[in-house]
Amino acid sequence: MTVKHTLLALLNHTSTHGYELRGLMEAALGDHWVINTGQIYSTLSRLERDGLVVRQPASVDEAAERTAYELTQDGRAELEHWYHEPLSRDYRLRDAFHAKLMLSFFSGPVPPGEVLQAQRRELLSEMHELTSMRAEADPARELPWLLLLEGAIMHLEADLRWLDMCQARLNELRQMPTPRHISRPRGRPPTGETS
Amino acid sequence: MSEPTETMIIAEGLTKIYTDGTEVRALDGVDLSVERGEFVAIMGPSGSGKSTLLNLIGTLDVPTAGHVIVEGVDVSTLQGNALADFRRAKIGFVFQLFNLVPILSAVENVMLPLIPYRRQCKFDLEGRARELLDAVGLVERASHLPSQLSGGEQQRVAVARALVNEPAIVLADEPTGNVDTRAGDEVMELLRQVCDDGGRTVVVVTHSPRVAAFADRVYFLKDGAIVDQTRLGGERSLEAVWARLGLA
Repeated sequence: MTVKHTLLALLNHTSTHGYELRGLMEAALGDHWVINTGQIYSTLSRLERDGLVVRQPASVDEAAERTAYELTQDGRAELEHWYHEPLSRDYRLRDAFHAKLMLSFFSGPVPPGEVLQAQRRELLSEMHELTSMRAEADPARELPWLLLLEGAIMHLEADLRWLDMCQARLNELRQMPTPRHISRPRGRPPTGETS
Repeated sequence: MSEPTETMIIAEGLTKIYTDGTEVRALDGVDLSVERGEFVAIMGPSGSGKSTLLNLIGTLDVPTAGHVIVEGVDVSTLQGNALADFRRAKIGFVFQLFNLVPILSAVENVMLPLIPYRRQCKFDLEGRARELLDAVGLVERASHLPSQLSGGEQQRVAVARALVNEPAIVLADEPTGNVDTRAGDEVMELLRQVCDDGGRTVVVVTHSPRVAAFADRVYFLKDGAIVDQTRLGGERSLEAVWARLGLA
């Protein structure tokens, strides 16, 4: 999540000052997104420098931190662009287990079936925690948080289904040739025949 | 948590062989135990023997070999009326296909298991059935027929019916198999409450990790045998959850 676009989105909803933005952010996204106020002020300064927000004229007795900001035309355009741009998700996380499983097919000492089962136990256990957290979430007040949990549960479901698929194909995987080192010619070109 | 646990269900060497032409070994020497007040899931792919195991625990079927012991009673020693009485006193069932009687209203379906024993009941059966419908959020649907209810609602009626005899044990066979994901979660949350608030022992068989995740403990069944079991939750999993949510 970018603080920049969150602030643009909130300011498009209502022109306000940094301190209130922090509260709005919590109300909109849940308390797990809350960042420190300093980060909000520094981001606001950058947005102002880039012409995406402007300070509203302050009354004389208002303190600097009470200065309200509003979105410029450019700010609104940037916000629209952000909404239209799809986000890509990072899948690299799973690679560590994939590597572990593939290595287990030829390395010993733990059979691939056990490696799979250990992972399955852990993912189910995580899913249990998420399921309990979801049950405790208040659907009326905490819907954004509830949907975040639901997303995590669904990802776990997908991971577990993938484990089932690997399990179903264990025998096929066992037929795979053992990896062998293939030497690539280095340095001087070989003079004789190589095997 | 520090209360002494008490074993509610024990299966010992449970084996079931069907000999319908060819011999099929549906269960092959299953040992398991379930504590009082525990929520256990038995997980496995289709054909792994899950339903057979649940039917044997629920005394709906007789094992070829082995024993089921419920609260210290070996159920194989019970026969005829004694077995039926035992089942009625101890066990409530929830099935994948709800198994509601189509010509009876929701409240009548909930009353159904005890209607033949209505005279012996020392309580108002209909009153209890309505309370249970209230507990599953369907009291305003009490006079509806099953066909007038959604799949999720029918299964909630089935959960209420499973509780009408105030059983110590509730057994559920793929209880979310015929409802959509959200309705399935509601049914599982209901079963979780049956365990947590009602202090009942719940055993669910399922192929679905989403369903199994509601349980405290999971047995993994494969080709008629228990291949693994695990207790769910704990600090390690919680840490992993925070990391998964990107909040660690």
